[in-house]
Amino acid sequence: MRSLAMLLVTLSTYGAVDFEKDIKPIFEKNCYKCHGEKKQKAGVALYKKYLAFQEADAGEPVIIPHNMESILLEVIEEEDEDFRMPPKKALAHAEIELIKKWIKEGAVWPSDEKAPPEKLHWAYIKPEKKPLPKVSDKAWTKNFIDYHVMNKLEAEGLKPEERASSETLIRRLSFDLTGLPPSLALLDKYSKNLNDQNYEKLVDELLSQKTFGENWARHWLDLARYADSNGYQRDGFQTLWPYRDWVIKAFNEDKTYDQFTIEQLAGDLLENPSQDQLIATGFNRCNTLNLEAGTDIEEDRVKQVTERVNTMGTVWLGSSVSCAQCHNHKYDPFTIKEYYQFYSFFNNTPIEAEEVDEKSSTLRYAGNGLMLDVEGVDPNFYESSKLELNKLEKNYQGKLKELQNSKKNIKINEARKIHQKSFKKNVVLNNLWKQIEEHRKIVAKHTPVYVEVMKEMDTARNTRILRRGNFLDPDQQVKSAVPKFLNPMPAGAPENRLGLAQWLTTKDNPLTARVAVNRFWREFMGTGIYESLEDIGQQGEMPTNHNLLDALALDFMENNWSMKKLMKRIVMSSTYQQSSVVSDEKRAKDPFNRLYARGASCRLTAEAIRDNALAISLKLSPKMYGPTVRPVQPDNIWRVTGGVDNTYRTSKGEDMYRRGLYTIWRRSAHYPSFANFDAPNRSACTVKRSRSNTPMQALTLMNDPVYVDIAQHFAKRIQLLAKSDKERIQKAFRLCTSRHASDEEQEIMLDILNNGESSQYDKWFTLATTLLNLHETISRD
Amino acid sequence: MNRRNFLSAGALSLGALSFNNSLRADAQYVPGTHFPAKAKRVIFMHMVGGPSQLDLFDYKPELIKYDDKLAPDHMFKGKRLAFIKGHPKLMGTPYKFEQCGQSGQWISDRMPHLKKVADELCFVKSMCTEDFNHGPAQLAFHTGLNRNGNPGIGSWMSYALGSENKNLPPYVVMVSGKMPGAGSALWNNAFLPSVHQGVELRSTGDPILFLNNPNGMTKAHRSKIIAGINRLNQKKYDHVSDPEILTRMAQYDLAERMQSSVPEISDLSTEPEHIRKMYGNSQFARHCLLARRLVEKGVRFVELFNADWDHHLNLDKRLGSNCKEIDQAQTALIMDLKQRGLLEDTLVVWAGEFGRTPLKETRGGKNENGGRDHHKEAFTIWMAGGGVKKGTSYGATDELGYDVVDKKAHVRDLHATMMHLMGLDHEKVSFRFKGLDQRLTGVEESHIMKGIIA
Repeated sequence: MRSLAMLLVTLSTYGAVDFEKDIKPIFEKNCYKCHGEKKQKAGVALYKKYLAFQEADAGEPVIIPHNMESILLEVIEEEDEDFRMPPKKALAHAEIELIKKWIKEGAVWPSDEKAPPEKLHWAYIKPEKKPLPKVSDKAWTKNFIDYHVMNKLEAEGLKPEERASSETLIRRLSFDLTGLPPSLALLDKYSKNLNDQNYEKLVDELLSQKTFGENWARHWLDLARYADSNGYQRDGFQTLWPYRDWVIKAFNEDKTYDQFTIEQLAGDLLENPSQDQLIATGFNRCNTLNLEAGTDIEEDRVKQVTERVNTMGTVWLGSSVSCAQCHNHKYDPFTIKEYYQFYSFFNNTPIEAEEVDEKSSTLRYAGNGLMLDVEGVDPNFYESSKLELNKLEKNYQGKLKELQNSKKNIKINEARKIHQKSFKKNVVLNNLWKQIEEHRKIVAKHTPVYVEVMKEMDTARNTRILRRGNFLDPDQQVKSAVPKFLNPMPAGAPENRLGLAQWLTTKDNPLTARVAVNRFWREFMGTGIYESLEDIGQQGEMPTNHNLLDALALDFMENNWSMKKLMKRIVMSSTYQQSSVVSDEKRAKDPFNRLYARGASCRLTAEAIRDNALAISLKLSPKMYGPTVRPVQPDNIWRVTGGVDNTYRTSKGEDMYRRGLYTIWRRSAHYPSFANFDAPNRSACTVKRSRSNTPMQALTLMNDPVYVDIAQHFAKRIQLLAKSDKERIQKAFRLCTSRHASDEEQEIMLDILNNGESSQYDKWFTLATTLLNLHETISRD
Repeated sequence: MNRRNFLSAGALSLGALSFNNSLRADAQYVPGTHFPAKAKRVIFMHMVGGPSQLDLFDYKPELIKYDDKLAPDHMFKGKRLAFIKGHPKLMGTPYKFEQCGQSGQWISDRMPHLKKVADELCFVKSMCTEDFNHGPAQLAFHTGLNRNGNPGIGSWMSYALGSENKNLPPYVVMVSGKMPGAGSALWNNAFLPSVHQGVELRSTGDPILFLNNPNGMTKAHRSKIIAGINRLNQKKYDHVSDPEILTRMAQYDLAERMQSSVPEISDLSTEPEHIRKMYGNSQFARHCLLARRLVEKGVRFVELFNADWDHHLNLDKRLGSNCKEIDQAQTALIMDLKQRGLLEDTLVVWAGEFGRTPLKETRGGKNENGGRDHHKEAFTIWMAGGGVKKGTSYGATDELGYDVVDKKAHVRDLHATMMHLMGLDHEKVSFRFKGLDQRLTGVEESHIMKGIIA
């Protein structure tokens, strides 16, 4: 063996290295197992010239002619066995020398084979307008959606289902648009005659409800990873609810998707941004922040920036750009360099954590809070009132000390107790206390709210590629830019987040509209046109109806990115209005309804299940906006380790019964009934929730004190619905399912009622809880 | 298809994934092993905060020799440490170590009980991880990723193997003391279906959230209510034949069964007194006994979190009380599993999220004895049962216990090995998400620690 190598050296030292004779055998013997035709570890392939000379996963080629710092040389000469190549047995000295000489001479590799021309993945090519496809059943088609769907159905030999019943459609629309059940009045108004004209009227009516914005904000907040705490060990609270309110309003105003995007990604960079446009940037302050003592502040900052890039990639580009954080994307054309060019856009915001002092490693929030300008709130007045309040409290405590003849300082709460117990009639104390109470109210009213927003630093940070994503291993410097294989930045767009947002929302961007329409489509139709919602790239699923996807995307852009118009387009189609009831045979043919030959039947989301039950029992508060609320939850859920307040103060009055999206979202101690119904803890961007079906859900609906309370209220309501049991039953059933009960169902309910008496829970409770637990009650067909 | 046929077709486990769900038909994962398993279930004991390997298992006489001497430069210069600042001193263990059992495993006097089962244990002294803060390190130790967003190992096991007991959740979690820093994210199902989330067995209130009927409701009344719900659901099913409704009905039946099976299993009064005595009295002891009862009934993955092993200061006092709380119980668990023949195919793993430095940490407070900082370079865990070599020590650190010098084992190597023992190829247990076949062990290469497999 060794003698052969020696021989090679002897032969080759005198002439130029011959690839075929000298180098290829070394590669074959030592490298092909991992870098040959079958496997290309780390994106390194040494069996074809064009592959060996192209960029590997790490972002540069392993062989660079004439370059003695080529990575190939580095790894074969590495002394640390953990990093050396080949890993098990090092190359012989002579072999290394040969390879060195070969590279020095220019790595001559006689081969003409060129990389096959790259065919750009469909999703990276702009959608193009095409004529409507031909269909034979034109009577069914209401708009372009139906042409595309029918075209597929005819090709597959499937027939669409009948239009669903009026009541089913009213319920479907009501939940899909507002997230709430239709009232009996709405059912009565439309169920008798839901012709096309009335159907459209109903759609418009629902689209204009304020509850529409609440429903779609809920959906968007999953993408925005909106939560009320920082996550990780400290998991302290962050104020972002004004951002949540901004989202609700944006949907209600039908803010166009391009503007919606620009304000959230770069509202602060607009000219003279309004307060609302600043609040909108809360989108990128929703991500996690690690304030655990001892955290490396820069490491966590880098994590935050990458998280912002990755979320932008998922939400707008529908792409797993995060794969390129450590190496070139294995399947899609994103390079590591391009990743850090994206990163550069987000790399100029101030640090968010700081050490409390030099000695300790305790961290605190460094804040870039924006003090909200709220009508009727005067921060100056707040400051002066607070000073005044302090003075009053001191006087009060002092007076009490005097009365007690004591030298010990007394805390204000204790002082109050002593006052009430022993000096109830003391005029001075009473007066002081009255003033204290007044001032407390003033202070509470004028307490300014600071909301987290994005802010660009005056001096930009330099951005470097981070080798393998490691923040301690920076490589070459890069500038903000967008990937080469996608549309260029629009003319005149600035090289900052604003420019990036404009780039995302030009009509030349092949991804943004497709990714968005597919997400909306899934909420209405149950499954996406491609189901890998978070990945439209090479590894994603091919759309089951490519033309439909493109037509929707084009229509969305032609309508100037109006989200309401897009939704209306979808719900006006015959496709959407189909019945979800199918024969077993047809179900077997398309079990996941990927061709849309029926309507979708879906379990409601966690929040909608609770909102629905509250609405049925007449407990739902219509109050909108404002700080988060804390509905009843079992004891001992908040047990967070970090030095933050774990007291869960249940809200009072109607705040206990607000819509789910106002519930406090604590990342490390998720509201349990929502967690049980697949609501994410929102530590990361969530594109789609699963719709599982578990015993924990049954237990939640039967025993969660919230649902027991709701059932009790519903039980009372049922009795007031009518005079006869029969009528009560009918109405109660309709409140839960939006339809009339069949005779058989009525019989069962009467039977339940008549046998439902027990000591503590009367028959009405039995009936109420039964109805609230029905599969149909927590679904929309 | 009627309900009975549907159920007898065996299509239903504890929480069947929604039939109408969004997964592509071809992406449905079929649970099962890839090769014969050495272990069928896991008890994972997680000592939150990072217990000190140097005061428990990794005996370093050289470090004792240099106790209180200034540390050599390579141990802190250019190194990132969470809390230690300036030039730290070395800290030798103040405890007595001895070699135990026939295998001669080193165990310190902090864990006198554990010494008795030394011959059952397999120590891995060469663990390392990448994060030195609790939150990220705990996430990495459970999910393979140091950020939120991935499922933990218990969820992956539930997903990969399904359930052996239809009346109990496949993945049960118990917490003694404070919550771990990363919170319930450690047993969150993340992108896996929520059937695979860890279900917390709680010590106060309902043993499982919402398990108990509302105050005053009798079992008979609850039964009647469920029967009524299912009668109406059946009517709907008769009309629309949506299999999702059948699943829903089965889940109500199962919920009712859980209402008896969970209290039954949590009721320790049915255990003979000598067994209860064997485990001892702490909350952790209760959890260990519960863990045995759960695996006995076929629960796939039981995780016990025990809080407060983060001994930066006053290590002496605090380590002692922590050990007292767990030592007898953890030992009893091993012995009890063994006497029941369960140890053979139950994998027991004991670990923290990282270890502690050979460097002393002080913060200059009054009456304050030193402790140790977080250490990611090297730490020790132990395993027992389930196909692991008995009375073994695997890997080693240098003389001062700072770096691994032999058989370095990354957290993902541990994950791969645990999966291997459970009959799973960690590269094949995957879930399609964000354009990747996501795996517990991620995209980096992991190595099965063959040296610890019996």
